[in-house]
Amino acid sequence: MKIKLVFVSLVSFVAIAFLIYQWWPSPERAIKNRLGGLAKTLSVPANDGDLGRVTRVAELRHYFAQDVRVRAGASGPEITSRDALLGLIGAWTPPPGGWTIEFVDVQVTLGQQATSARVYLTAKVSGHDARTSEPTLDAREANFSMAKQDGDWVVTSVEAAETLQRPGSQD
Amino acid sequence: MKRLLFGSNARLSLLRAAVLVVTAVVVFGYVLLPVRLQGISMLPTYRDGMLNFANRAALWWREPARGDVVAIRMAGPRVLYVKRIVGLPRERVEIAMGVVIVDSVPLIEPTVVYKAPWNLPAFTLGDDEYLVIGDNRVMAMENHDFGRATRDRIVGKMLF
Repeated sequence: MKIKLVFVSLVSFVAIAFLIYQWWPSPERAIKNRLGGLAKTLSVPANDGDLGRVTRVAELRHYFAQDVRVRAGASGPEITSRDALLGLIGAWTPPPGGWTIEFVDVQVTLGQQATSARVYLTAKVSGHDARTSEPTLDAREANFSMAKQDGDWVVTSVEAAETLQRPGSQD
Repeated sequence: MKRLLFGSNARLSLLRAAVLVVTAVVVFGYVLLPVRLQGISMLPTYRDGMLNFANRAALWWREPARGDVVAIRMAGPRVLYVKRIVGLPRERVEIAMGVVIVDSVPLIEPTVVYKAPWNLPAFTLGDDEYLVIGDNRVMAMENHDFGRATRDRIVGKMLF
């Protein structure tokens, strides 16, 4: 009886400690939640219509700073404002089967005042091939800069990074 | 029913279950990382959809070697590239008409069945860099993800 009590107490303690760890508010957790929301908003359901696209663009406005800078690669073009970025997203036609975006392996480094942060993550894009309907997966590393503005974390810059350095790119 | 679940000694059964769970978490979380292969870049060695494991322990006592198929991490271990090592640190590598040439010696690659005539000027790998390429080289070079990976990105050797 005593051993059972000890066991149940131990399991309960571990479970409570885990829940506190999971849900205790912190800037890192707020940033991860925010990025989770961004990934969900960027995901496109199958057969998404114009209304869905407009709604998505309107929602995305809240995730980016007005002067957000987005660079697809070291030598790629740079987008330097939220309006330009949202314009591009709005004009882009998603694949008919849609896609799901996830941010995984998210590593947050907070700035000194905890009002800015650097985030290193892998963006994972899953969908289906338009011709064969086979599942597809694409992934890209990215560095995000984020800042707290009016109580919310917003993305101030995004830079995609190459995992495998193509020979010749730095020679 | 209770007997079936817990055996004759409930305490011992719980202990066994706990050991099993901890072992599984340690083995599959830190030593043998499960990898579901997606894509065609490692054909014919690995088919799309195959399950394999990135064996971290294989590289605890030795450095990656030429011919090893390794898992390369992105920001972390949740998404991995699976590629074969063809070039080692400080080696001079070039590709001429699909043949990889390492320090002026053509590399024999029995695992590469499909070979398009890729050409890549000679370059020297850094002290900490490996050149990794997939086995399926039937596509144009621009459409194949390959390149230099630093040692810290190589998380393990594929188990089989």
